[in-house]
Formats: sequence, structure tokens, C-alpha cells
Amino acid sequence: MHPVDTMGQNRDGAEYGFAFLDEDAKRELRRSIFKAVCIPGHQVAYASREMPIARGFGTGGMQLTLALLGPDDTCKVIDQGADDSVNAANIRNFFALTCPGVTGTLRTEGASVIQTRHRIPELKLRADQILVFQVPYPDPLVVVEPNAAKRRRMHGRADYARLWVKLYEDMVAFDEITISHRYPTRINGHYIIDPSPIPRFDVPKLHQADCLYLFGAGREKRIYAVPPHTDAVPITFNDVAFAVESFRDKTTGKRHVCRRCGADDSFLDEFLDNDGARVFQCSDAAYCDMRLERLEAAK
Amino acid sequence: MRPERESWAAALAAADGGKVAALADRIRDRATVEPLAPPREGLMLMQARDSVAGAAFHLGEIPMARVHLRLTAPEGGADGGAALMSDDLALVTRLAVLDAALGADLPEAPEIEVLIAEGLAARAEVQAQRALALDRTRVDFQLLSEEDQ
Amino acid sequence: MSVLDLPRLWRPETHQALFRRILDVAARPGQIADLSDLLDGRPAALAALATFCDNTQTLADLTGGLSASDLAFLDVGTAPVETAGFILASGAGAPAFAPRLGSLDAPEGGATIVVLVDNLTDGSTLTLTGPGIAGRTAVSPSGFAPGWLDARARWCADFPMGVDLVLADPTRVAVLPRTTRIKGA
Repeated sequence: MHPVDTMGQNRDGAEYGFAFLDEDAKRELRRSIFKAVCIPGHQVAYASREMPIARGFGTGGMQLTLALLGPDDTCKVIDQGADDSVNAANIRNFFALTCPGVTGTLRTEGASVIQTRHRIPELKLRADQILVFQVPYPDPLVVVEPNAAKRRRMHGRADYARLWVKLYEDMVAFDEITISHRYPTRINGHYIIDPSPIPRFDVPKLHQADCLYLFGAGREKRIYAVPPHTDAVPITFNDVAFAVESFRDKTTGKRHVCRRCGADDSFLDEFLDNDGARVFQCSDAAYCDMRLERLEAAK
Repeated sequence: MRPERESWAAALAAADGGKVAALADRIRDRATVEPLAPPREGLMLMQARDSVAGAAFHLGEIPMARVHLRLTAPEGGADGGAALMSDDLALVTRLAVLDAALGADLPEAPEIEVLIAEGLAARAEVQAQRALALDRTRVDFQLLSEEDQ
Repeated sequence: MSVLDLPRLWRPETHQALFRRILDVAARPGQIADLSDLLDGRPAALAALATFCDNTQTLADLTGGLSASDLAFLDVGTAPVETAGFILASGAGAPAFAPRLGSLDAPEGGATIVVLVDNLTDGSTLTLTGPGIAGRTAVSPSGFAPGWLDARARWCADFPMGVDLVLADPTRVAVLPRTTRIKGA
């Protein structure tokens, strides 16, 4: 789909190396990724490099992806589940431009490395796939402790008492935990991570997965990981169950389905169509397209 | 007269690029070159000292390329190296080849010396121009009180 | 043709391929990565170091097996074993050193120890559980003294602090992160 362009050239005509970053930068990223995998959930500090897009637009995820990619990789980039949003399309084009040989794809099942903003694909990822998250705010403790050094100490000691108090206050004030996304999730019984702004619907996919999850926060200069087959438990109280978005109609009690493909098991985006009616549609565009193709083929 | 070895690479980088490339490639074609360390190219932090307290600080990131190699020709061989504020690894490799060739006193040494002399002259000219530009911004601070006295 | 031709082990594309295979087995302790097609006859342990070391890192070579040329290509600083970020050690005898364990605030400061073993698949079986492992799995290194397991248990007693081991036979590597629980031997 996206043609592999000629290698990027800088102003003097000298070529950029494969994957844009210099080898020292990639090696540092790889060391940090290695330690992040060895200490599941721990935020490893790294020297986030300047990228040709502004911090806050996915530079952390991009740096991870660039440190991973080799010429035989197939790469997919999504933003809120869609491959064709401006951010995702531009990042994918950037990889095509700077990583000759890397193939871009829209298909979840065909990708070896997937970079994502705010969603985990609906299709279950395999052991040979890596999901890279773009993370705006890596530290779940930031809501209860402004001092970064103190937060690091609290993480090291798994001292999350103040986070529990915050959740309890939610219960007292609203009768439910009001966190809709970035749900604090405990990894391997120790560190609590911010799983990036994925909806609650996606949080259970982190638990005992087959694939490796890597998280990169470019602006905050942190890398962390959830290895495969690792416990990832959204924190909640014994008597308050963690609940994902149900998409049930309040009046009929029936689950909404995607208006395009009819899926009743996917995360749905709700919006108003041109006539002002509320409609629901799969947020994962590749999943929706795949279902449509299958429906077409079955006809 | 041959200048200090430390200034060879900087001088050659300021000399005519085409001539430097042609000479280095000619030497390389008739010699064997093996790396002694992986060539490094990338951004590094530049340290500077402030002029008041003398405290070290990081001025910013600069592109840097470094090559260390051994050149072996029929007449002899030597280790050569070059490190330059540049992202042009090909240029730095050529400078390292010339550094080794001059270090080994290969027959091409006089040609390299000519290029070094050219480069030094070019650098001197740039420095003179900069000094001139700087000179125009010089300000004489006079104390008002002196005239009052 | 203007940039130097490097031996395969030191080329950037080799390091990328090595990293992906090592990452794969680091995320799945007990699995073994065969690196032989990338090595050109060089040892897998050296390849693991080449993947991660550069002039910002420190290495303590307790085997004395790295040549001056290997060290120049690794471009890594040497340091006493107590402070080195990377350690190359032989698995034949129990370790008699104290590696860096990191701190509570920065446990990633714990050393990465590359341990040379004879063979990753023909020794006595170690049963592994923990993150990265579905249920349980096993690895069977020979030339890996039982003293290593005791020392590792001591070093990794206070999670998140600890060390991460890369077991390397001549052509393959396996990773034992600090989180892996080991039984047997």
C-alpha cells in the first residue's frame, strides 16, 4: 500500500541510516527495553531523542518501533483503532521512508510490529507480534504525588496506598470508580502501570497475553513493558468488580452492534450520523473491514 | 613543514572536498583498510564551560562521526583515525585513511601535506573573517564619571 | 564505496536481528534463541554483548576470553565487577563476586550477567515459572554450576532489585530475568 520510498536524505545529501535514529540511540533504547522486560511494569528512564514530530504525538512509541524494526518486518500503525487517521498515516509513512524493506500493512494478523495509540486490536495478538503503545502519561501515581523522586520510591516499594485512597474516594463520591481509560493495572503483583489511554474494554487483554507489550513515553522519557503470560490486574476492591464498557442500550438492555459489520463483541465508537441519530461502529477499523470481507465472501 | 597530527583532520575537512576524496580513494584502492573499531556516527552531548564560574554544562547535541582503522600499503602501514563534528561518515573515513597514509609516510604524503596546507589557509581565512565580524561588535565601555571629573 | 566494510558481527543490521531474538527469549524465559546464522563463527556470548554494549557502558570480563580487538569493537569501558553494568562470567564454577543489584528507585541498574555454559540443552533440567512463562517450562544447561542458582537467588531476593542472566552456549542464548523462579538442579 504505502510505497517504500527512497531513503530519507538530509540537506547535505548524506543518507540517514536505517530507521532514522543513530546506532547509539537504538542501542540505548534496546538496553532499556531489555531491562523493562526483565522488570515487568517498571518505568525505565531513557534519553528520549528529538524526532521530526513534536513530543506528545507518539515520539515514545516511534522510538521503540524504530529500535525494533528490521528490513523483514511488517508494520501497522493505528490511532484509536483506525489506520487512516492523520497521526497514524504519517507515522506509517515515516517508517516506510526511513526503514527501507519494512512493509506497511493495515491487517492486524499480518503485522509483526504494531504501534498503537489508545487501543489494543480486537484480534488476539500472537506470540510473534509486538504491540508498541504511545504513552502520554506513564506514571499512575502522578494524580496523588507531584514529586517524581517520591513517586519512584513509592513504585520501588510497591507503596500504592494513596492510589487506593483515591479509588475509595471515587466510590464514596460517585458509587463507582470513575476512571474510564488509563486504568491503573498491577503487573506481576508489584508495579502498577498506566496502560496508556486504552479503554477499560482493552485492559483484560494485557493479562496473560501471548504477545509482548511495550510502552514508550517520549515526552516523559520512560519505557515499560508487560511481557507475555504475565499477570496484569486492574486494581479494584474485593467487593467492587472491575467492569468493562458494556455498550448496552439503557432502555432495551440489548448490546449495540456495529452498524457496518454487525459485530457484537468489539469496542464501539458512538457518534451522531448526518441525520442526528446515534449510531455505533467498530473502533478497530481493520477488524470491521475483515468482518465485512468475510460477510461479502460468504454471500 | 608538517603541522601537528591533531590538526590534520580539521585541516583536511576544510580543504577542497573533491581533491580530498580523490586522493583518499586513490590510496585506499591500492592499500588494504581494516577497521579497528566500529565507525560511530550520531549525536553526542557537547560539553562547554561557562566563562564566569567555569562550571561545565551541556551546550547541546552535536553530530559526531568517528573512524579508527589500519591502513596497509606495500611501502608500509599505520593506524589512522579521525573524529569530526559531522554526519558524513564517508568523509571521516577518508580523513582517517589520509591520517594513516601520512602517518606511514606513504609516497602520497607530499600531496596530503599540500591539501593540509590548503585547508589550514582556508581555516585561517574563515577565522580572520570571523575575527573581523567580531571586531565590529566590540564596545568600549566608558565610565560616565570619568568625564565628570 | 567509501564507508568501511565491517565484520558481520559488528554491523548495525546484525545488531538489530540479534536484539529481536534476544528480546524474544527475554520475554519468554526458558526459550532458546539460535544465533548461529548471525555469528560467522564468533561466540554467542560476544554477540549478546555486542547487541547492548557501547562507550556509555561498563563491562567486567571475568573469563579473560575477550581479545583486545573484541574490546575495541565493543567500544566498552572496563570496570571492576562490583560496579560493571555488564559482566561476562564462566558458568563452570560458582560465582565469587558481588554484582550491582540496582536500587529500589532504579532497579534497572542491576547488572546483566552473560554466563558462558557448555550447552543449553544437554544438562540437568531446571524448572522455570514466572512472567513470560505459560504455566511452567524448563531449560537444561550443562556447565552451569549449582552455585550460580544459590548466588542468583541471593541477588534476586529483594525484587525489584536483582540481576538478569543471559546464558550463552557457543551458538545459542537463553535469558533468566530476575523475576523467573527456578527449581531443580
